[in-house]
Amino acid sequence: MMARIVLDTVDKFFGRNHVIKNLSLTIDDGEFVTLLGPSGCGKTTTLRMIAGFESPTSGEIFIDDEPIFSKKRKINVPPEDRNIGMVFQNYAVWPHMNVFDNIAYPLKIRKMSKDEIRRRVEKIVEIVRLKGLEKRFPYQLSGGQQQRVAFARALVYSPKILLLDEPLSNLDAKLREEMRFEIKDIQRRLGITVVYVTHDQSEAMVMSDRIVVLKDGMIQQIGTPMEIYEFPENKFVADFIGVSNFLEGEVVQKMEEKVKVKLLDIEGFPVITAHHRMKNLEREVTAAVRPEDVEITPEGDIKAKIVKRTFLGNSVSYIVFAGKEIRIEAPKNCIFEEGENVKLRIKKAVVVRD
Amino acid sequence: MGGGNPPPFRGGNVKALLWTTFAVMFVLIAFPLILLFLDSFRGEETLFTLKNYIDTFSRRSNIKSAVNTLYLAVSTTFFSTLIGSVLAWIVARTDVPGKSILKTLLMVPYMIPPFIGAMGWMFLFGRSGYMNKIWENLFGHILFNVHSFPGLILVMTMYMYPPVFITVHTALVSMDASLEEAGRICGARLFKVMRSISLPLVLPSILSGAFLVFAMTSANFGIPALIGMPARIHVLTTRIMSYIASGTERGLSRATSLSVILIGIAIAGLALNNLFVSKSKFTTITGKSTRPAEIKLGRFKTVVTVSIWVFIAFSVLLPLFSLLLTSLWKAWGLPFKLSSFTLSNFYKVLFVDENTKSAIKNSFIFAILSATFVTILGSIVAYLSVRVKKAVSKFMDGLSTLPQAIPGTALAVSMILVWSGRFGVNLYNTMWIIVVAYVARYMFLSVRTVSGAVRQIHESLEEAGRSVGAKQIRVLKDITLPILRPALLSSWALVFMPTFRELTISILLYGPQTRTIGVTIYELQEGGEYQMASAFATFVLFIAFVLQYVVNRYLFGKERT
Repeated sequence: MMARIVLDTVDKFFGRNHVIKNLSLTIDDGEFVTLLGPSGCGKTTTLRMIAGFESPTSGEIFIDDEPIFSKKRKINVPPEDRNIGMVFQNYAVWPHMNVFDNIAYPLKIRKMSKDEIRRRVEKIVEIVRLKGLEKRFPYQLSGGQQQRVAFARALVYSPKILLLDEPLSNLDAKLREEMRFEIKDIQRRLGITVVYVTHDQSEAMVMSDRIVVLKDGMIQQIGTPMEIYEFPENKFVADFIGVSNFLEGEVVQKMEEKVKVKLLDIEGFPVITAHHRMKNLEREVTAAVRPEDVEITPEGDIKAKIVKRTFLGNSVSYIVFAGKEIRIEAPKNCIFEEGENVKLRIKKAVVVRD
Repeated sequence: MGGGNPPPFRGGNVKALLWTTFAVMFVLIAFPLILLFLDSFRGEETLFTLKNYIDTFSRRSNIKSAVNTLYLAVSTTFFSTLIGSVLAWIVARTDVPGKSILKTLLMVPYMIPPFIGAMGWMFLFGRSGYMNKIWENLFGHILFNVHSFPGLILVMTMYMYPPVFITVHTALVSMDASLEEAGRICGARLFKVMRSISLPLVLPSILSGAFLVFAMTSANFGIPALIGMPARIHVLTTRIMSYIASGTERGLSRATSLSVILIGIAIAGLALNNLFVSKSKFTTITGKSTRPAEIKLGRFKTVVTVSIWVFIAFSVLLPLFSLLLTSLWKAWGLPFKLSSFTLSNFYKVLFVDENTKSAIKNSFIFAILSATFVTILGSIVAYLSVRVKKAVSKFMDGLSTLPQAIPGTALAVSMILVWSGRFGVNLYNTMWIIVVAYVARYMFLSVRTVSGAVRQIHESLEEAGRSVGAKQIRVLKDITLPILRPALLSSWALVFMPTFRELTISILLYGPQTRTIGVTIYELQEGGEYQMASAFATFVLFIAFVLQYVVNRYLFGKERT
């Protein structure tokens, strides 16, 4: 079972609205890729184009080098022939069928024998932990159970690819947490390729092999969760995933993968070392600094004053002023009073594009 | 999602279905009405002339019938609105006892076909009606002749107040109590609050009910036919019927121009409604928050309670009782004792008389066929109009609701114009012209019911079917249709109910072999066969009530999602 998805220069217009702009993306076999972005960024449209419910205005889509959509070759394989599993945001469990019939439906379509159907449904029901609920109707199930039905239905015919459209957004917080790991677990066990759509960055972090950050129909960055978090390429990514302080500065010295930057909005114009992955670096740059990468320490070289303190439980959040307001997240044993003068040290910074 | 390619459909087959449906709807509804309008201006040589109208209105009786229609509609609207609003206020906002039973009983006239109701009133206040007979024995003269203009207004009002009652009742019950409470905090007494705050707030509902009554009254045929015609009082609907019955070319031409005038009057009522009420700025009546305060009637409680029960006894129960009594009587005018009563009238209607037996068979066949065709076509229209976002589908949706505003009489005339062989198809005197007219007339019931249900089905339910490998047609069969089943059944029943006892359209379109229940009851009543007529009518009411009960109980009662 192999499944590699390739989107090649795909564009999509809704009327005059250009919602997907020249999108190219390769999703490897067995990979868990998340399309992440704010609402309206085109992530659901991209997913629906892979599923076949939307047709690109131009470009090509391949599964294992077989074109399933090609504008120029006039190919458009209908959704039912793409052999893809999909879980919808509202689960789309059919209200007139019980759990067994919902899950068995794809197998009936494939004209399997009654015994084979029973065997397969039994197996998948076990995997998604729905045993004993086979005779129930959707209205007798909780949201979480309905979702398991939707998963079972999408997996029962062993598709090569599973598409998930914000499947956790309708669940309560605790169940959502649980399901993240369960989905990841099922994916690993079945070795299936998963394309997952969400606007929740923590979901994306926990589950994905790679994250595709989208904004206004354009890919902002592709990378592993760690790459995306540690080395955001632009301001949007740095801000959408986690929290960042943006500090303006000018380059004073270039090195291999690092650069020395003089911070211009900070009192005393301190010079820090920042990571960069850009080819042509301009003189004036923006450095993104994560709150937890700023340390409050007597050895620091930046003078600052505590403006506001908020206790978060496992850590303490400060807003300090050092020519500019900076957010800091410090360990909980590190307590300073509002109005106190302190010194800061920036442990890590990344040069980002606008 | 919108855009150029609606996802659930692909390729030309949907396009073909869309345009085929559109063509059917056009021929069924738009074409007859356009033709009616054009024909009313067509001369022997010219396409546009006012000659038909001049000819029609050169007869004073035609002018009179138009004036009567307006006069009747205005008076009925006035009295219905007054009675309906006052009753609604009493039931909704005072502490009168037995509110839910009152509400049910006051809505009973809504379920009774007006022509059958009119019969009940004839048996009470006709020249030799029960009440008049009793009065004559006591005082030597009759109390009130229902076959008069006041009689016409009275009977019409008794069957037209329910729409006002129910709209005003709903508005009063769902009004935000805090609006009234704010008035009282400001220092206004309860009755002052009622007058200066509540009344203005429900005024849009009152007006909307009033305009609806205006349109319904001007379109009504049964009551003027039974109450007005014996006194030579004609309105447009009865006048049109006489012209069609004359069977002449000239009669048809005059019926055509009168139909256009009738449509104009009925649509004026609905247009005024849209103009004044829909754009109303009173949008605070939203139906949430707490229930408004009940007004303590205090020492008036007994008076109000007795009055409302007297009204119900007089307007709702007595006519039904007189109908039932007549149906059990051996012959009109026999002494009031047990030996004068019998069930043989029912036996004759159901098992002996060839006329009534064939009418029952006809009406059920027409109703079953119409309900089936309407449900099939209406569902397709509803589905397309919800799922395919194109101008054509929206237009079809609008077209299907149009006949709701067209008086049945005028619609029937337009059907005669189209289906009498002028365009190569002659359905006149066959059952098909009646079925076609019913389908056009009641299409809106199905479209409204089913499109509401389709809107409830999230597109992802269908997409889920596609994604697991089912073809479009298979998804329709396995997923969409089963989920729509309750709506399809409702649609079928909603069309069956009015068609099986229909009079207004069938009286203009029936042939020797296609008499309906409505037509037969009407003819029996006209011919003085009161026992047969009332037994038949009682049978119809029985079926109607049973159907209504079944529908409420089993179709609208349970819903699962």
